[in-house]
Amino acid sequence: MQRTIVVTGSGSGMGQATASRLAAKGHRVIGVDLRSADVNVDLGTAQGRSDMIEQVRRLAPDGIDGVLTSAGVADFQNPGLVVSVNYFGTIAALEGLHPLLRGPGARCVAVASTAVLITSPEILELEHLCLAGDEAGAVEAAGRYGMLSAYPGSKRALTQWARNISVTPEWAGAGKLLNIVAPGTVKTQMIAKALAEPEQASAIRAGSPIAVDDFAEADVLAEVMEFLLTFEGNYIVGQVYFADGGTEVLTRPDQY
Amino acid sequence: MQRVFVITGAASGLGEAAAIRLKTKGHRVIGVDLNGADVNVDLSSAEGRADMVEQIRALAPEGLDGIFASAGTSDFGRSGLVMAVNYFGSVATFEGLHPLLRGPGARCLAVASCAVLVSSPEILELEELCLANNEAGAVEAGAKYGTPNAYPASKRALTRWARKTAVKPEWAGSGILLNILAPGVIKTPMVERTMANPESAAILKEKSPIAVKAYGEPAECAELVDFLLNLEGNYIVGQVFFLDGGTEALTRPERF
Repeated sequence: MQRTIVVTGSGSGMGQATASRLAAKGHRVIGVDLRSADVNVDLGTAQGRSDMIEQVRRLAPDGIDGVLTSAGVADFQNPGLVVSVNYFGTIAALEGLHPLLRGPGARCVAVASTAVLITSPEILELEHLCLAGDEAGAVEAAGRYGMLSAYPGSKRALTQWARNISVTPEWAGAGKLLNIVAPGTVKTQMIAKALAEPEQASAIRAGSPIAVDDFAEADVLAEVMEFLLTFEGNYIVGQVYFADGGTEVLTRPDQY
Repeated sequence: MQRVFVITGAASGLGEAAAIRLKTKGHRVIGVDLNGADVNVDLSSAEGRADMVEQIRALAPEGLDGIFASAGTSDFGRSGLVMAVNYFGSVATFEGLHPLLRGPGARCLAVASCAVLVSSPEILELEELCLANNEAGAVEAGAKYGTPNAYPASKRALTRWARKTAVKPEWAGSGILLNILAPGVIKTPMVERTMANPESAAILKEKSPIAVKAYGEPAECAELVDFLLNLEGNYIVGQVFFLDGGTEALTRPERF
């Protein structure tokens, strides 16, 4: 069955790999990105978010069957943007597109990260600001604490939000299943460049140990995304699928 | 590509559903059960475990591509047996069959349960006896503490064992991925008997809340098993896949 799936961040990395994979399987993908996509908007702004919903509604008047929110940033120069896009832009996409989802049967995936395993007082403060819906406060605090707190803070808040919302009557109760994929180190362009530098490479390996032979390509993540966007059963709800080569297990073996 | 899988507990419930699905897709399944399977053995005994490995070696001299160890019991009258089959039988299955796995590319799945979310001093004691590889002690204590303790303990111990084993060089390091399935309430014959009794049905409902409209079917479980046993990517290691209609997310929303 052909499904219509919205992919944010469709211009690069996992979003692009998943969009290609879904299209190759005969699904219709509505790509969202800053430029060169079907819908070109900036999810860091309220205007961009509402534009996105409106344009998707026009492109798919009969509704959509799924959403993958892979738009995300890890910009050291702009930690405020990190919480704006990764948390507020993502929940705006899922909340705004929810009425267009043809449930039961709709499947959504939010993209978190193994960075959710990291905590600190600053990270927890950012997480709480996000979950309280205080975008101005979260952006301001992120600017003070920097990217290394903003990124985990945004992804933790997103994971918590998605788990909370996934079990509500409007989501699971309506057959619209929302789950979370938490990728570990993936050889996106940005990471491949860092891995070419011995010093940065050893920092990445120390911070994100893996049990498999090598870091994965974005395609490997697309296989997991495809499953969670198209599975037929109605019983996977609010789960966090770590696809990380073992990083999560090596980091906290006795917790699960 | 046709793959060769071993499924323990293949005669009923989740094992049977997975076997049907995999065979329909053209794979070869070697079923293991107490009777009526390709290999008829009792996984609660050392002799049965050794027999199984020998018989499978004879049936698949070219090796295996995966294992779904779904043999398990929750027999209220025989809580010692619960420890022997669920933990020691499963561990022996993976360890005994590991040399036959054609890695890289082999994929294995242990079966835990949402019962891993339950704990008590008795459960933790049983769990430690398992992980210390003290079968006689675990069986004796299991008989003493009863199935409401033995069942969660056997599944908790198995989950921890699988997570520790999954990241080893002989497993993930060799491209052999081991993950864990944690089903919630699935309408197997065992659960249907529980639901037929209004009193035990009420307890089930209270202890295992779901966010979707109906309890899961074995076929929904088989879909996830199929995905995890045929995963092409080499990046999902030691993960616990709750398949529970939301039980886990409702029970501990803040943990992930």
